Amino acid sequence: MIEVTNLTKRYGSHVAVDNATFTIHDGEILGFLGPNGAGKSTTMNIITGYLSATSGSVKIDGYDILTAPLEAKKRIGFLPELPPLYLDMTVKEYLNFVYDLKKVKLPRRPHINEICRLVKIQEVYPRQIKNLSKGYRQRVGIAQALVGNPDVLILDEPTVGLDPKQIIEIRNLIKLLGKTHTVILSSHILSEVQAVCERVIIINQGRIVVDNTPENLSRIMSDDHSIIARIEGPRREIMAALKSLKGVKSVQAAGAGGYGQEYIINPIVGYDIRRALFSLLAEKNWPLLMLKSSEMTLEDIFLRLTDGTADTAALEKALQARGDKPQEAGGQPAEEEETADFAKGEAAEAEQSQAEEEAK
Amino acid sequence: MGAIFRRELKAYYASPLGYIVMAVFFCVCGISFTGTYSAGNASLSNVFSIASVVVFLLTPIITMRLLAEDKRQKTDQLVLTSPVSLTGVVLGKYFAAVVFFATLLSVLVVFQIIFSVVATPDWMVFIGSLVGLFLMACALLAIGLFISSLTESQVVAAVCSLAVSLFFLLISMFSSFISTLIKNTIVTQIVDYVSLFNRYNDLVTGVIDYSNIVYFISFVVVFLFLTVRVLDKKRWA
Ligand SMILES: Nc1ncnc2c1ncn2[C@@H]1O[C@H](COP(=O)(O)OP(=O)(O)OP(=O)(O)O)[C@@H](O)[C@H]1O
Ligand SMILES: [Mg+2]
Repeated sequence: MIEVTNLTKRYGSHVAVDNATFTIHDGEILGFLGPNGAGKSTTMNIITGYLSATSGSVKIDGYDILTAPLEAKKRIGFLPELPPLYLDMTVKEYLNFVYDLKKVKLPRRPHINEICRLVKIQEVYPRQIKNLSKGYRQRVGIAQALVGNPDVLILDEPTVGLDPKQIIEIRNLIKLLGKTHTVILSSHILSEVQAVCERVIIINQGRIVVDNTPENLSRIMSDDHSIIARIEGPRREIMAALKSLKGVKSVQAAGAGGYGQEYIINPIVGYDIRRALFSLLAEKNWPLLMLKSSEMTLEDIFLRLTDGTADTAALEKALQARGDKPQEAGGQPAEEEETADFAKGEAAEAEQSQAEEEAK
Repeated sequence: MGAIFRRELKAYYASPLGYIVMAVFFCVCGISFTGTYSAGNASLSNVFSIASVVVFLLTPIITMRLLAEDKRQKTDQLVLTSPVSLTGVVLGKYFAAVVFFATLLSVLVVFQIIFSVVATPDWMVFIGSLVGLFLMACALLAIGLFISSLTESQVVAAVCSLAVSLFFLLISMFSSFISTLIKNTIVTQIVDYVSLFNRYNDLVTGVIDYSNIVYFISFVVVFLFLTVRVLDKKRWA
C-alpha cells in the first residue's frame, strides 16, 4: 500500500507537484496520465526516495520513505524514465549486481532466470548492455525492477521503445503482477492506461485533476450521447425523415466524401433511437454504412481536462454524485479473460522458441 | 555496499582507463627502479619520491568516474533507490578506489623483495614510505570522490580534482617558503594543515608517528562525510 499525503515539490519558484494526495491499495494498478512536464516522473521519483519532497509525506506499507528509507526501499521496484543501466556490464552481470544491491534473499539463479523469462531477455543474457537495442535495454530495465519481487512496482513509461508485440506482452505482465503487487505506471498512451489500469490519476501542471476508473471517466464525460450515422441516399429527404423520428432532438449533416453522408443525431436524453433508425432506413431502403456513438474516448477526456478549459470542479462533483468508487469498478470476468490470454501467449511463445531452437 | 564495491572494483579492470593508470604507475616506478638498481643503490627512496608525485596525478583519474558517471547515465536512480544507505554507497565506491590503488603499490613490494635478495635494505623506511604513500593516496582519493559528486561530467571531475591535488602538492612544496614570507602563525598553521605531502615526508623517515596517521584518516573522514552530504542535498534541489 502506498499513501501519499499533501505531496508538494518545488524547483525554485516552479511547482512541479502541487499538494497531491492519494492512496494505492495492495493489488491495485494505478495509471498516471498527464502531458509532458505534468509532474509524473517527479512524483514517482519522490515516492521511490530518489528525490525529496518540499513538503508532504510518502508511506510504503506504513514505512515513511524519509524516516525509514531502507525498509521502504526494500519494498519498491523502480523503473525510472531512462532505464538505469551500466553499459559496461553484461545483462547477466547487471542483474546479479542488482540482486546483490537489493540484498535479495530468494534463490539467485532461478529467480533471475524467471525474470528473464518473463520479460524475454534470455537471448541477450550474455551480451553487453551497450550493444543492446533500445527495446531490449527497456526490457532489462523492467527486469531490474522485478529483481527481489518487491511488493510495490513503480514503472515510469514502461512500454516506451518496445515493439507492438512486446508492448502487449509487457502490459499483460503488468496486469498479472498487479494481482499480487501494488503497481503505479505512467504513460502518455491512453489506451494503455485504459487496458491495464483499474484506476487512473490524471495530473496536469502538478495537480491531480481526476482520480477515478477509466470506465467512469468516459461514461461521465460523454453526457451528450449523440450518434453518428453514415447513410447513402437523398440528403434532404433523409434529414427530414431523421428529424421526424421519435426521440430525436436535432440532426446535423457532417462530413460527406466517399459513400454517403454523415449525420450527427442528438437524441433526447433517455431515448435509444437506434432501433427506430434501423426500421426507418430499412423501410426507405437507404443503406446504413456506419453507425457509431460519439461517446468520448479517454483521449478526448484527457485533452479536455488538460487544455485548461474543462470545469474540473464540476467534473469531480459529478463523479462523486454518482458515488463511483474507483475500487468498485472491477471488470472481474474481463480480467480473467486477460489472464487466459496471457497464458495462451506464453504457450505460443514457448512453442515458437522451441521451434526456433529446432531450426538451429 | 558490498555490491557497489565489487562492481566499481571490477569496472577498473573492465575499462582501458584502469589499465592506463596501472601502466603509467608501473612504468614510472619501473624506470626509476632500474636506475636505482643499476647504480647499485639498495634503497627505494628515489622510486618513492617519484611515485609520490605521480600519485597526485593519477588519483584524479581513479576517482573521476565514481559518482559523476552514475549521475550522467542515471544509474544513480537505481543505486539511490535501492535499500542501501548513502554512507554505504559512498563507502562502497571509496573502498573500490582504495583497493584498486593498493594493488598498484604491490609493484613497490616486489622491488623491495628484489632488493632484499641482493642486499639488506632498511625495512622500516620501506614500510614507513609505503604506509605514508598509501595514506596520502587515501586522502587524495577522498577528495577526488567528493569532487566527483559535484558534477555529472567525468572530465570536469578529473580536471577539478587534478587542480586541487596540484594545489595540495604545490602548497606542500612551498610551505616553508610561504611560512618565511608571511610571518603569521595562523597562515602557517593552515598551510601546515593542508600540506599532505609534508606529512608523507614525515612518514618516509621510517618513524611512524601516529599523529600523521590520524591526520590522514581525519582528512578521509571529512571528505567522505562531505560527499554523503552532497548526495543527500542533491535530493532536495
Ligand atoms: N531538476 C529540475 N529542476 C527544475 N525543474 C525541474 C527539474 N526536474 C523537473 N523539473 C520540472 O518539473 C516539471 C515536472 O517534470 P516531470 O519530469 O515530472 O514531468 P513528466 O510528467 O514526467 O513529463 P514527461 O511526460 O515529459 O515525462 C516540469 O515542468 C519540469 O520542467
Ligand atoms: Mg516523465
